[in-house]
Amino acid sequence: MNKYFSLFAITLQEIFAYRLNMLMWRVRQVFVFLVPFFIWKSVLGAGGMIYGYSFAAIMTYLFGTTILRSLVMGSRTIDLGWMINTGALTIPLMRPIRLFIFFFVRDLADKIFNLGFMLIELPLIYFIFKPPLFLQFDPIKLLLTAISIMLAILIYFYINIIFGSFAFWSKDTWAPRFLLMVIMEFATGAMFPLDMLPQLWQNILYCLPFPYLLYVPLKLYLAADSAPLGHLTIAIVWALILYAITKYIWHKGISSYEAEGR
Amino acid sequence: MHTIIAAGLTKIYDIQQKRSGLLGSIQDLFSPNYAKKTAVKDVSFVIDEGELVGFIGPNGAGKTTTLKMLSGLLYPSSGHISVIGHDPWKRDYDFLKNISLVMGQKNQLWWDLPAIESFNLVKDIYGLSETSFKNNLNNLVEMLEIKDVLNVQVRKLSLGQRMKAELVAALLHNPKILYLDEPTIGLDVVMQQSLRSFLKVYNHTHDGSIILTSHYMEDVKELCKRIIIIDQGEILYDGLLSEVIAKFSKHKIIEVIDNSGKTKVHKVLRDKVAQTAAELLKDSNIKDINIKEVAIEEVIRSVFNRGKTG
Repeated sequence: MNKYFSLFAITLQEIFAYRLNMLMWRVRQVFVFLVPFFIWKSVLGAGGMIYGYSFAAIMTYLFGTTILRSLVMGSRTIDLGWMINTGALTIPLMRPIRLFIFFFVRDLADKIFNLGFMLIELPLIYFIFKPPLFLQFDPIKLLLTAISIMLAILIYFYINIIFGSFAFWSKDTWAPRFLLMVIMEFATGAMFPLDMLPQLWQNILYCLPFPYLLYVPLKLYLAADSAPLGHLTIAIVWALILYAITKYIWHKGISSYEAEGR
Repeated sequence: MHTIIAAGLTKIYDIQQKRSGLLGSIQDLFSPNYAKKTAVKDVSFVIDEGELVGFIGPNGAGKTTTLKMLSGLLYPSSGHISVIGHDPWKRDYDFLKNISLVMGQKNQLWWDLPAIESFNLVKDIYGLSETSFKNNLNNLVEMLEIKDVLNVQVRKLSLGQRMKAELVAALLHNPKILYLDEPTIGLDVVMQQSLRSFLKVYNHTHDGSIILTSHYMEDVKELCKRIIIIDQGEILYDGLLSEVIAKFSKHKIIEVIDNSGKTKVHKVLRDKVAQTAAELLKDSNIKDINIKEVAIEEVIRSVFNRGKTG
């Protein structure tokens, strides 16, 4: 375990090595909150409701997705495609370490870094914009939320490995990744609550892994999920399916890895 | 004892053949053209404990591909490999803990952090005890003279310092097998010599086997008793470096120095050397003659050229 802890620590050191980069990344995270904030302010700022959401309710939702986003979507595994293309994957491959744990530990370091900074940024955002906060005290709901966040972290991790692994066969990994980013902005509920969509669209989205990254964990926290156990079950099924796909693709990919550039 | 056994190793790559021009590029989108390229063809050899073997060949000869197969990075298309009793491709912990791969053109240290951080990570990854880590680190750092730069960001080190730090990271866990792929590439003459001297001492003081690939004949001449010459994926020679010249060069060099001190060089067939020398000595204007072997660089160049034309 010591080796993975050291990997965790060195990943954080690596992030801290570039102060400006680190600062700009944080600024970006604040903008991720501000952009939808101003959009919704212009729509609902004068009062009224849209799809059952008041401005206050939307703000609570956005505040929640901002926190969850840092935790679920903080990732270093997004470097995988680059590592395959440049041959940098060779280094961890030649070490006595489990590759998936190597990537997962680096992801965790990124998440902890995000979380640490959020403890400073969120109070600031709160005092400036004063979104209504909802604090959940029901232990069962909190437990369900915690489980769904862990599943979200796993699902996002596997999605990243699968998309990164495309680099084993194609040098063009940027296009699929960009497509994934666009889909995720919409389908995870990061920009707006998914229950604003027509029922049919909601039903389709619930069959995909994306709502289980942000939307479902947040709804569970807010105790606003109509079928919490059903959704958790689907999240578990997706985590298992994606794990199986990841294993399969990784096995196939690593057989065709050419350690180029080395 | 054989630490490395390679039998009938072959690696065939699928390489996309890009068509020329815009139309060709569009055609490539719909029906990419792939061609088979044999990078290594039926290569077999064994390497024993403590041996330092030079793997030499021109660019694209198959040296690095062979090294990658031996280290478990590439899956061979056919053939069998055993490295310290392991199939490298399975990448067992016991195998990975006993090998090291250093590539001269790339960096395995953490680029944005001081080298000492990478060394500390190596300690934990390989589960080294505090004592053995400190002993090894002190020894290596002293031998390679990089004590002063341990706390400098790797990206700020010179190429030579970085290469030395790479070697420290690669050797801290006392690997039984060390693969060195062009370790002196891009280094200045002084730094090349310094690395060579280190490798020489290291090889004499450790039992592990070393495979070295290099473009620089100086590296090979100074470090390796045995060499494997590979070209176009096939082994052309596997044996002692000292016997390469006799095997591949049909000529010897006769240097003739006349009374005015001028030197003339004659390249003569081996079986004609005695006769030619005797004839030359009959000339009263000749003060001295030296009979020498052709330079190894020239012999090896001619071996590669033969491979190309033949």
